[in-house]
Parts: sequence; structure tokens; C-alpha cells
Amino acid sequence: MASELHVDAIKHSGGTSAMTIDSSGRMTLPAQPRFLVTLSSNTTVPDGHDQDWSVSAASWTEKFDVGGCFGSGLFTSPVAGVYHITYRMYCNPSAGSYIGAGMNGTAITDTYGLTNLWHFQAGGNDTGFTHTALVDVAAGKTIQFGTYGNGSSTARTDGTFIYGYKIA
Amino acid sequence: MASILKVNTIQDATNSNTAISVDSSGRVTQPQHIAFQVTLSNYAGNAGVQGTLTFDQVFVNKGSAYDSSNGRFVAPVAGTYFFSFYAFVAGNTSGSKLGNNSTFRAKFQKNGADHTGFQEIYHIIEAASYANVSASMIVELDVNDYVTVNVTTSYIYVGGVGSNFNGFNGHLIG
Repeated sequence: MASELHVDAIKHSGGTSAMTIDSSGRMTLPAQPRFLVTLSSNTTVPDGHDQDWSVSAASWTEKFDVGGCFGSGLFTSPVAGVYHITYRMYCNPSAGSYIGAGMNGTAITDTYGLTNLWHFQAGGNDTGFTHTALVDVAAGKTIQFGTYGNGSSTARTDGTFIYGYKIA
Repeated sequence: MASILKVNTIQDATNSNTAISVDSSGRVTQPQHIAFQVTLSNYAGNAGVQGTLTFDQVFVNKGSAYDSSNGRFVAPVAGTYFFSFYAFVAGNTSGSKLGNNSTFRAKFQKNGADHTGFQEIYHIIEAASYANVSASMIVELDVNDYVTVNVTTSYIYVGGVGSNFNGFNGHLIG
């Protein structure tokens, strides 16, 4: 016989809410780590490799951050698990050049065994590109978001953002 | 009156596998949840690849649903899944850059065939330089349905192990 549990909410044994189930069976996870930050002001992407651009050059506007995932340009896993991370950039590298975006840090090293996970995009007019990665990490692992310029360009606020959420 | 369960771990009734754990902050971890991240980079370098892609480097494969021998994500359970694909495009089998006004096309396929509403990447390069393409989608799958990525026009650039410019990832939503 199937074992069924009929319940409206699941909490940790200490009382903190973890999951709600409404009368249609829809679940929400109010404490599940997730964040969205957008670039606060148009920011130069310098020529060459700037590994910690998100930390040292850019500033970010926090739209939401459940669980304290993002601070000072850095993602930090608040608890062990699998996370989806997306790094989107909108900028204006000149024709014939290119722009690079890289993720690096202990979460990238631990999952991929690499220093950087790169994307490159052709120049021309304004261009946008999206960099997505899953990481499977312990708590406290970090990702910073770097750039690789081929001729200086500018990342724009109206299309540069970072978001992430815990999948499992 | 609302019914509330206070618990640290929920397991399946048959085999006692942990499905959900809840920490003291209310954060949920699902150790059996299906998720994968793979990349394609084992060629000798400077190669352009076309057709159904076999991503060989497996970094995350929770639930063992991705098969690196044929590039297929095979649904272990019915449900709605998220998929994402990104690539570094090339103009020929040698991995040269795409030329001006060249076209790149790639698409997700379900069970080896086009599927109504499936997202296709269609990209025209305006300058001969490095270029990135990406796409994502969600799809409902039955058990053993499979999803692949197929490059139909132009190529993706595949470097040596460690370049990881081309990736395929996904996870079960619900």
C-alpha cells in the first residue's frame, strides 16, 4: 500500500519553514538559496584578462538574494548542493575584436578542475551573450566573474546581470 | 488548521533513499534530484564539429541520466525539464572562425527528431571573429525520452581537454 503524507507545510525540526504545499499541490521553497544582481553602472571591460572584474571593477544592484548567496561581486554557496549560475553580459566590442567572460573560483575548480570557464563573443555592434554553468559544491565555495577584453569596451547596465539558484 | 510536518529528512517508503533533507535554515537538499553538466573538448584541438554532439567531459551527472557514449540525456522519470546549450562557433572542420555574414544553426531534438516548439539557435555572424551562441528551453518528457543537441549549419569549435567552450546542461524542474 502506498504511503502518503498529507501536509500543508514542511519545516525543519527546529521550526524554520522549508516547504509549503497549497490546495492545488503547488510547492514553494521560501528559504531555498537564489539571487539576482544587475550591473549598477556602465563599466569598462579592460584590454586583456581581468579575472576578478566582478569584484574589483564592477558594482552590483541586488534585486533579491535569499540565503546570502552574493556579496561584493562574489557568489558563495551557502550550503552544499548543485547550483545553476548564469552570467549575462551586454557590451560593445568593436568590429573584428571579441569579448570574453569567464567564471573562476573554488566552485569552478572543484566542479570542472579548471581555473576558468570561458565564453567569447564576436565584436561588431552592441552584443550580448549568456554564460551558464552548473556546479556541484560544498558550502562556502566561490565564483567570481571575469572578463577578457580585446580592445577596451563597456559592459552596459541594460543587459549585464548574474543570477543563480540551488537546484538540488 | 494547517497541517505542519517538522522533519530533517524524508525518504522513499520502499528503499529508504533520502529524497529531501531540511537544514536548520529551512534550506532543502535533494540528493537524488536529476541534474547534469557536460562539455565537449576531447578532440585533438582546432577541430570543427557538426551533427549530433557527443559531450564527453562529464562534470555533474546526478541520477546518471546523461550518457557520454552517445550524447543523450535520457529521462529517468517523467516530468518537466530545463535544458541549456552553449557553444563556440567555427566555420569549417579545421575550426577556423566563421566568416562575415555566415550562418550557424543548432537545435535541441527529442528522441532524435524535431519537436514542435523546440528552440533552435539561428545566428548570423557579422564579423569574422570568435563568437558564442546559447539557448535554453523547458520540455515535458516521458520516461526514456531523450534529448540531444544537433548542429545543422556551420560547426562548433572544439579545443583540447580543458577548453570547455561548448556545454550542455539541464535539470528536472518538477
